[in-house]
Amino acid sequence: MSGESMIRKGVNSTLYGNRLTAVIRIALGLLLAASGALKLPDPVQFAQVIMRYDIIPADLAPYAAVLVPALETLLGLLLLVGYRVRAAALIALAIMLAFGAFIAVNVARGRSFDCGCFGLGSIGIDFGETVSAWLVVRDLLFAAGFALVARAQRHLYSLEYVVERTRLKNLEKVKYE
Amino acid sequence: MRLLKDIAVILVAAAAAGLAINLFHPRGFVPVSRQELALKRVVPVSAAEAKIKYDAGMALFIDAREKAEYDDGHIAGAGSVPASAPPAGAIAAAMARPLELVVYCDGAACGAAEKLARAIIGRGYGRTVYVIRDGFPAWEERGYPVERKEK
Repeated sequence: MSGESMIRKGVNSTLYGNRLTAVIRIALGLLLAASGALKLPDPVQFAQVIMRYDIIPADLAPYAAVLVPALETLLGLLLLVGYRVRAAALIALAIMLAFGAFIAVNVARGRSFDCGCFGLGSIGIDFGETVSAWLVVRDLLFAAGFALVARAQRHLYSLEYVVERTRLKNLEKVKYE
Repeated sequence: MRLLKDIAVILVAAAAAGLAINLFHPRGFVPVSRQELALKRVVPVSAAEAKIKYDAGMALFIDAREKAEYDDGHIAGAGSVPASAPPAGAIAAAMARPLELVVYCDGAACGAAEKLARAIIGRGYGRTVYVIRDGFPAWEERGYPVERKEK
């Protein structure tokens, strides 16, 4: 088999959903669940982070601060377990694009402040990551990962996959026994 | 179609979970008064972070200490607005400048910078006011530009 066709085969299998897709799904799920869960304990702090971005009206920031971490945590868990994967990945994709856009707007405004990424501040870890073009790129990379997961047909090591396989196995039994 | 339904279910479930968590959360705060959050727009920064703003020329530095302390040495280019008795018009003048405001006093415990920052926000300043956490001593210690009044 030539190298080129092997690469194509690898790409196709990743798009269809292989172990790599599953690893990306689980890694991103963990990331989302963790960063959501870290923001949950301190909505006030997260509201301040949102206010720093100066995009969502101040009156709505507290609501976003309460809803977004819960959504992130739920999406993360769904992706991790592998249930309703496509819907969860699509929402996560939208969130990542929104975060990326928020950061991009503030980079364009020429502002520089702690991005509040992953809610790490709440456990006392402070990388001092300030908003920058690199963070936009990183968010887009995450978004690409979610897009890949959303596009995949099959999710190895997921609840959906196990349920579907069990169902198919039982179908065969009913037919041939 | 099922996909849309899944998305809707996830969004509603997350919203319900978020509100429910908030309801039982000791520090939950929806609905919150805007005033309370507005007061939190005072953001502490380290001297090093303030220096970045200083070098970029994107900030107006305000010395919140007494005039005598200011004369004794202050961040080069900073204006003096004593928090104890802000001169009429000084706050309005600072707010009108298209720059970020960085307020400082003598350190974390001095309180003057925080007080002045809140006064500025109380006047309807819509952006974040930065306060140098360890104040002027930290700035001076790092050898950042300082100005003294010639005697």
